[in-house]
Amino acid sequence: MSKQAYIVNTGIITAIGNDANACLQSLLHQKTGVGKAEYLQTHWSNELPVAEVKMSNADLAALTGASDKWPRTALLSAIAVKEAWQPFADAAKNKRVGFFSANTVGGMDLTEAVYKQFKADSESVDFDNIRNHECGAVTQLVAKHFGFNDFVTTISTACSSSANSIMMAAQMISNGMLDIAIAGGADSLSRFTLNGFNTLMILDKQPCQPFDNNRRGLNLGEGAGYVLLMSEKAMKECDVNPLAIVSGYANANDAYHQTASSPDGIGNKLAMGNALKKAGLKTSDISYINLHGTGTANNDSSEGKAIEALFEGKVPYASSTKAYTGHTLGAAGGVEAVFSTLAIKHGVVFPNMRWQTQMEDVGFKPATELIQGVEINHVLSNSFGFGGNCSSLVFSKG
Amino acid sequence: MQPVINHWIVINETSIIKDGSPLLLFNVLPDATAESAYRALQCSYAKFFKMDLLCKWAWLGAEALLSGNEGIAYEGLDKTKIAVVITTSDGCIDVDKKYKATINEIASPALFVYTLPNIMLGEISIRQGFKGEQACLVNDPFDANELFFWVNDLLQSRNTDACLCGFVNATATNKEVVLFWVTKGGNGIPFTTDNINKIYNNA
Repeated sequence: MSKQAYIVNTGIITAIGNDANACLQSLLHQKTGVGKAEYLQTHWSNELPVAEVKMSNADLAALTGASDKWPRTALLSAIAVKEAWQPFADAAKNKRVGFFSANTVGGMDLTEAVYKQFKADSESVDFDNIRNHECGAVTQLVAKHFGFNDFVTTISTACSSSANSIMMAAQMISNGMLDIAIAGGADSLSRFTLNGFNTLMILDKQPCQPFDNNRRGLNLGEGAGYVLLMSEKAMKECDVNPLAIVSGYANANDAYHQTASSPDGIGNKLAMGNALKKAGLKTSDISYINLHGTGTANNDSSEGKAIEALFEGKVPYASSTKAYTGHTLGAAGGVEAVFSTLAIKHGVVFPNMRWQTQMEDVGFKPATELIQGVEINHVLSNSFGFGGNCSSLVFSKG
Repeated sequence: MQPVINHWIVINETSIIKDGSPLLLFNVLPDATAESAYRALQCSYAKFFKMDLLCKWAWLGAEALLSGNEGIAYEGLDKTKIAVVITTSDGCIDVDKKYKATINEIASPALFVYTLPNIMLGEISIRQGFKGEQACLVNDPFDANELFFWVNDLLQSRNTDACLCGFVNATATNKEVVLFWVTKGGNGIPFTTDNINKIYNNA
């Protein structure tokens, strides 16, 4: 049996908090991050609510000593990476450290700010605004800032991006290729993504209601979430105890549509089933499912049906946390890996906020009240993306 | 091992040609649209009608290339080891323009989802069930050297057994499809830059 990848720390920033503890408090007290855009310059600020981190780029940069000329995605990434990494930076010396950072917007926020001017007169635009446009550039900026150079990679598979980066990191740790990995992802809001999702007609003009029969769509969010993974050996040498284990993971593709899931969630079911198989668990072992639960008609219906089929109607506690953080796209799998770790550590199930009406085509009801003082042994976390890219992770008590 | 071209398909303004022989002449059809060609080839795939022009012609090219009297070209092959590499110079400009015309009213989601040229690879792969490596290259003009480089590399050293590859352009005024079915070895024309160019230039 291959070795396991242990989660020893986490780092996160979202609209509901600048670190893991602040996010936990918001989740426990049902405090949403969804509201009016203040920093994102958009025509839609009065019509489309977003879950925005309420800080300027300069303020974000100051938290890590980064340059405020970085794309916002890189600034968010650095903050969450710092939280996860800093306590172990010294102990990790001479170890092989990997950095797996997902994102989908890259430096689009800076590019779109100068795009009009660039078209009118390209010579008048400072090229630094476009230099970090590409998704990999965001990862490189952060990697350089923290001195990660043993293994650095960017994964961009839409909304399952950072789940896939955690999966890849866990595989490399399990196979003895790395001692330590920082894995997750980041994404900032941008006009590009807001307008794109608006075109697809899947944005909610009100705060979203995942898994509700009358759901209208999703709210976009921004943030970053990372887990710090170690091999058993590295953990002993760093004298640290695990918060959780990445016990299972799987990726499958629906091969159905560019932006929609198949109606019965074929890829979703495959990903969840294979992740359980990898973890050596039965469906009855799962204590809590952190749903992908975006709030779109399509996702929640196919995800719900796939869960019902796989769990044969005996569905454990399940909730979506996107009513708090919005859908943070390439950061979602990382953000929700941190939430899953918090659920295990504190024995809680976060309520699926704003739920009112039972879905007609899905039989189970999400957890709508805060559940505390329960043993959470195994969490299944779903991230399903455009292109039919479906990933599921299983986190187990360490 | 020498990769070989097993089959090739050419679609130009007047006809669809497979392995050098005419498969369909457009002058026997009511018009030379993708829909007419679809009906003449007796295809049955409702999703075809939702596709943009680029996907339609790429999809039709793949249908004509891969199926024939002798059966399906990839019969018995592992579909996780079948790659798709397609180059284009005009990309999805046709649907880009149509989409742009809608954004001042209600931006069309049905058009929007086709505003990436690599969607043609997705449509072909969904239809055929291919799950191997994929690349969509935008080049102006067609560059046989580059196509050869990527496909040869996949077949020689990237766990790929076969590759659907070639060039697809489709706009309101012009269509040009040249697709090759290339396998790692076997009988056929050697897969070389010269042979790619020969077929492309005769198209």
